Amino acid sequence: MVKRRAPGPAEEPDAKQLKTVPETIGTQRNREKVLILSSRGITYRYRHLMLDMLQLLPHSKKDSKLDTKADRGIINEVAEMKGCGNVMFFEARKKKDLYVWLAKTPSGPSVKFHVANVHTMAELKLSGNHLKGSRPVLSFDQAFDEEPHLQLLKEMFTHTFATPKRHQRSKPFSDHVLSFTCVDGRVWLRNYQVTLANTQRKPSAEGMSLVEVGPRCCMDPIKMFAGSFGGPVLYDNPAYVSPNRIRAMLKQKKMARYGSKVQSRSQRRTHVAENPLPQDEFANVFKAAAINAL
Amino acid sequence: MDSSDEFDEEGSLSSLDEEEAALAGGLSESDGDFGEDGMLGEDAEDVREGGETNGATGPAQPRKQIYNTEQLHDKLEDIAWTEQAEWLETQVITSDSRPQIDNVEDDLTRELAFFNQALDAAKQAVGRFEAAGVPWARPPDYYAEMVKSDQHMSQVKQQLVHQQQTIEGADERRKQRELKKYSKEVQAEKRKERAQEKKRSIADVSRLRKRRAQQGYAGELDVEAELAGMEERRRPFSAGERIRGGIAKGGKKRQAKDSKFGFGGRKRLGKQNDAASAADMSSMPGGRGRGGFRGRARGRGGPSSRGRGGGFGGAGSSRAGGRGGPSRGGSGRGSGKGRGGNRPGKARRAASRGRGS
Repeated sequence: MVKRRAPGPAEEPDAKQLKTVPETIGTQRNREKVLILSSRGITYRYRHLMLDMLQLLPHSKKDSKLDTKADRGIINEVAEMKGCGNVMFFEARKKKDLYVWLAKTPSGPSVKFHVANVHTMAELKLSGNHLKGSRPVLSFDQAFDEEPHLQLLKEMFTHTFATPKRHQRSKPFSDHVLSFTCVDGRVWLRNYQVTLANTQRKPSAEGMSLVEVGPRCCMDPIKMFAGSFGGPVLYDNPAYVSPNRIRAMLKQKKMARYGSKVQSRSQRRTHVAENPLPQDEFANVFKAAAINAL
Repeated sequence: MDSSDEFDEEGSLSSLDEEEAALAGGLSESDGDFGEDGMLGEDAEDVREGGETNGATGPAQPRKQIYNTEQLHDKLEDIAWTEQAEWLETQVITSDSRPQIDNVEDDLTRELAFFNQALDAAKQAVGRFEAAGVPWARPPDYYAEMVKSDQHMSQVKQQLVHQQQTIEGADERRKQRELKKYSKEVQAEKRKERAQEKKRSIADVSRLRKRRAQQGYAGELDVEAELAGMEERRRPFSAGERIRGGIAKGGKKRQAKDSKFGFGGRKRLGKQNDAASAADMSSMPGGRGRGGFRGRARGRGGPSSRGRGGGFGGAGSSRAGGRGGPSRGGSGRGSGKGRGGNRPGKARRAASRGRGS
């Protein structure tokens, strides 16, 4: 019988070192932290969206609702106190519109989105589930590499949504994908769980499928600023129409409908008045006959 | 996932958006209080005129599109670190194609495009994980807190089951409805047939009466026979007769099968012992039956002995149609063939009762 040579003590540390030494490129470490907070007057759906974000981002910190509407500079101070370099600010207006600010503090840039089509994790239709704190794979579509403002957006999304490696509240597995797609000038956010085929002993990409976990929303960038929550405008979306404007237009449309109805009614009235019917000579024939019969 | 009706507000809201965007045509924002907007546009070098929606019928001034490429790049350079970092730090996958979505409001194609993009990314990521030798999949015995609680997941499951049930219930009800319709038809058909039958038999009787009258009521009248004759003429073959006619011509095999499976005679007790067969010890090994043991031993030996009715040991009785030892040899090892014919007592009983072939 051939004896196998036991690994000598001199060899082992070498092998270990080879494994643990990181690659020479990529000296940067991800140390981002995100502050998540909302304005006052946020509705339950948007609050749930915010809480979902908190769950998705183990490197996030939550702060109490911001009381003031005008002075957003305070947020920078809060972020500094919390030691966060990124801010996600949920600003609700009129109890129906949601704006999300994504900002790098303290020196910018920042983006203001209008958020629509919000579905939270609490919805029963989204049937996926994944580990809390597992690090997501971020998926962007090609547009994010092509246009300058989307490049900047991609960088900011990455800072915000990529969970730092070896973060203490993260788990060392990847079982979900956060996908960002730019369609129609808007950014659509989706979160999928990765499910593997049960048949294989060793996990692999074959037979892999996705189940949506949520939340999902559609973010329409309105403006990008050079500073944090202010400063020179770098980008302004011309296609953006505010929801107030939309509602006003709808109302106007309705108003126009009523106006046209009133107008047509009065027109009819004048027409009838102007064109009286000619006298019908046979109108009383049967009436006369009936009288005669009596 | 049928997203068209479950996320109904999605379509409607976005369609609103679209419609109004076309209507408004770059109207200035009415609720904007972007704090420090004072400097906007002043130092913008790359200010383009508004996009395609501008210049429509909008009464207000078209909003200028601000697109400050240089400053965007500057800012990107200021904050960017993801390019320099190791891939595992960020796990970002950028796809190399744009999603093919013709109509954003078409929920199904849109969601499918998103799904495909994410799936591609997941597969690429797995490839990279494996290339780096990093374990990425959660082991099956690794239990930890999930983003959705167990209670919530059970609700989800309930919902799915409920959905399934409603679909199945609707299916079932539809089937029942159809069945009812069909059975109604069948019943109507049957009623019609019965009426016809009645009419016909009345006609038969009246015809018989007429015939008797013509013949002057000669001879004895057998009403049953006459009517049966009429029926016979109308239907040349009744269901049973047609087959029975075939049997008479059938071969030996057919006859054997008939004797075993049907067409006359007792059916259930054919295999049961009676007093005579129970007393028959010829099949017992070591008994008085001479051929028993030897015959069986031989019979089990190999396929050559099968169907011959046994080995040479029971020479006498084997010729007699397989009673006793040889017959057991013949049916040994589950050969199955010729079993019915060789069953002890069957032939005898058949002969004694004058039934069968």
